[in-house]
Amino acid sequence: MAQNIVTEATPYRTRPTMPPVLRGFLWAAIGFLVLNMATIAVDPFRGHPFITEISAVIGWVGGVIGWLLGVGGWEGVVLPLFGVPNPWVAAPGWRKYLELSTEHKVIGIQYLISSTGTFGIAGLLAMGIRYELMQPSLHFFTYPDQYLTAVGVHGTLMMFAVGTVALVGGLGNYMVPLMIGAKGTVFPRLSGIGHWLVPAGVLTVIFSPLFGYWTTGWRGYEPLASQDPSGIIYYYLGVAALTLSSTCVAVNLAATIVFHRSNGVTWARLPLFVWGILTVSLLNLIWLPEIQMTFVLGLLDRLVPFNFFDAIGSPLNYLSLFWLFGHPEVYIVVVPALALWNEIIPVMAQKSLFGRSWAVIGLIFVMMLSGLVWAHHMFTNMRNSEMFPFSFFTEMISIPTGFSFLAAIGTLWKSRYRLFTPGLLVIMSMFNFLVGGLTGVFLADPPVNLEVHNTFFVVAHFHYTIIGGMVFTWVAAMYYWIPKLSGRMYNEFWGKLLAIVIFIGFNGAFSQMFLLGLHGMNRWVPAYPPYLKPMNYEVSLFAFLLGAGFIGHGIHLWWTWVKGPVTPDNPWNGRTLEWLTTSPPPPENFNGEVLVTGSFYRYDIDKPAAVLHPPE
Amino acid sequence: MGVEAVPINPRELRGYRFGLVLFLFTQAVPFVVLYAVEYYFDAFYISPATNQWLGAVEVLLMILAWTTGRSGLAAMRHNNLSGLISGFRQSLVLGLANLVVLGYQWGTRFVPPGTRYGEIFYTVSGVTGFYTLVGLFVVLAISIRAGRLRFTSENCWDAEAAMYFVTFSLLTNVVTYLFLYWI
Ligand code: HEM
Ligand SMILES: [Cu+2]
Repeated sequence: MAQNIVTEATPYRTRPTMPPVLRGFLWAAIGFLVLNMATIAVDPFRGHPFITEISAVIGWVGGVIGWLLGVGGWEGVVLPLFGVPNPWVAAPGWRKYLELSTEHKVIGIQYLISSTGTFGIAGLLAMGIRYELMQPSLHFFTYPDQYLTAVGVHGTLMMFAVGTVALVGGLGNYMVPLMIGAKGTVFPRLSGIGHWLVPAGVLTVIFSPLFGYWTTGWRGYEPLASQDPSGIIYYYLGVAALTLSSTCVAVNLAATIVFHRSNGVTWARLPLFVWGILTVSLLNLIWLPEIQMTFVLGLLDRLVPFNFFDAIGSPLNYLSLFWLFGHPEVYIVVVPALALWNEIIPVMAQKSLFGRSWAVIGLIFVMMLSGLVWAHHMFTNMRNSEMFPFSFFTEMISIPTGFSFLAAIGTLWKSRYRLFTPGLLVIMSMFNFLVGGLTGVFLADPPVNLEVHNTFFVVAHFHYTIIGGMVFTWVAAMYYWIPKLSGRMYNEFWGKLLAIVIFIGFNGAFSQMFLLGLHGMNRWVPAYPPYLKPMNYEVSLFAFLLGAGFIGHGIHLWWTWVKGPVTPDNPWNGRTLEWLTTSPPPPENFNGEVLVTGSFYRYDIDKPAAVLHPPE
Repeated sequence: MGVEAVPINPRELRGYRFGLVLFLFTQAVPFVVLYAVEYYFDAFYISPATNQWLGAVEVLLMILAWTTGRSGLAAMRHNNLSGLISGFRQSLVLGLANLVVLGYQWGTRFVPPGTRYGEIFYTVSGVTGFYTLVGLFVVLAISIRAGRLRFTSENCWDAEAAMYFVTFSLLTNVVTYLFLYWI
């Protein structure tokens, strides 16, 4: 909204006196205290403790506002909204990542850092969970509820701050404007402020157990949630902040894709990853507000208290509202990954993308079908007669999903595939996702589902799709684009070795979980019958290997970023527009005007897809 | 202030419009959830304790707020900056009046909160009021900004944007009124 200000006319611009993040924490504390005390002050019932459930919610709102203003929102968003120019100049060097920014590349890196950090924390919790499950009874956690909270925080962070964020807020923000030849995004301030909701949401979820262990897992299941201690409130609020962040990203990137494509980037030429982000943005725009309102209703149940979803309301209604969002959510996670396969494979194979339009159509149909299948998560709560349509549509989704596979396989067919690390990881990801998708088809069959629902079979299924599909592709994309992000090249030996480590760790751990599930290992319980111990013990060992492998990738990518050998601008000989500019790209993305004249995915013609006309 | 507004190029403007409309569409989703939940719990039941007149007054005030805001924007299109500002300020006052009436309804507890209908009534009217409040905040901010940046007829996107919010508030008020008092 507030872009139309001439900045040259503001001579008195300065740097902040206090590091913005520090000021963010300070203002967050002040905001919390002020609104918390204001709530206590108007509380008609005296004698409540200093923090009540209601004051914690209102105080939290104050805290988040304080945080957003503190990290730069006051100078960068609020003052300009009222017509006062931003008094700050952008920070130089790494400091620019630690304050509100309006440059999409900086914002993309910020999202990547937040997502990676969260991945580390939630991953540590996963190690805790697996350590606990090495023995059939409680030995690591003290109370069962502690274990359940660990599982809940793990899942919530992984879904809402990693799965939904890394490929969209992170790589999407960085790459999409570059790939369409744009010099910026439509709503840079909105996008800048959006990122800082991620740390706010993550910290809220991490510290939620301080208000009592909540036991519902990432789904906030009812009527459990309405009986849980107050920690569940910070689950609702944390997710609200995280989903709001992704909503900002979706609005900004969708508008950017529609209006900021450079000359010649027609819809027919739009890169696959950009299509992926566009479809995912539409899903986000529909379903994130839906879950937010559902959580508001959950909050009201506790605070007023109302009875929408508790035992005298309708828990089943909550389940439906949750999964209406929840199933599209899993496609929000995986659609960008499907798109990335077909972005990376043609480049690695130096061969034209097979069936490009089918790959795009697949993404779009997955998007449309994903709203029709939610009740496959609720078969155990349904009448037999209601199951069929949901079972049917669920199995139908595998057809458009298959298009992505077919395009990828068609491209690989008889190609001279260059098995560099990103190429290797994409192939691994395709294998993993195939296992995940096929077991999903089994799960969509009511007779199988009623047997294995809420067992480790389901846990294995969705980790195959999410870790195996999305996270592996995320790592692949990081290797693919790290030369673009940093101008430096990773080490091929370490990249491949670590890829093999996570592949073994992942498959070793999660393939056995299918068997565990079939043998009767339930989800959501820290104790299990002793005959399951040997396999659980093994799963945990592989899980630790997987964790170590991810840390290795993190260190390796970090090393590349700061110390890796310098590489040419287009080391893979890619044809999409991000490779047309320097590595890393200049603040304006392109030094000149981009003109696209050919397809990005045709390797049978020598003429480049685009030219960069230098400025006069 | 050393600041002045510069015209936005048409493509950028289309981007802003599209983005804002897209955003407002997404914000219709929570209302769909609420109306669906209302239907789920109450079907077509309307509590006889509701005060039909006050509900209608709220909608009327919102219609007036929209009309005055709209005339402010129309004035701006003829380069009448003070017309814009006064139109927006009137709109603000009328919108606040809408919230005061809502506050009065809440304060009297005509509708008992401990009933199924009551839960829905306070939730739906509360959320509608919250969105109205946000819209009014935008109107206030833009009316201040308009004066500082000296909007012109070519450059008044922000005022247009504020009106998008007011339009959204009007629509939600009307639909909420229908759902709470009629169907
Ligand atoms: C061919 C595609 C797929 C099919 C047919 C399918 C089917 C199913 C079914 C029927 C369930 C319910 C199992 C139960 O709880 O009883 C399920 C659970 C789940 N699926 Fe899939 N799925 C597919 C793809 C995916 C993808 C792509 C993802 C994520 C990226 C995913 C993530 C999940 C998650 C997270 C759950 C469990 C949620 C929970 O209970 O906490 N699935 N899937
Ligand atoms: Cu599903």
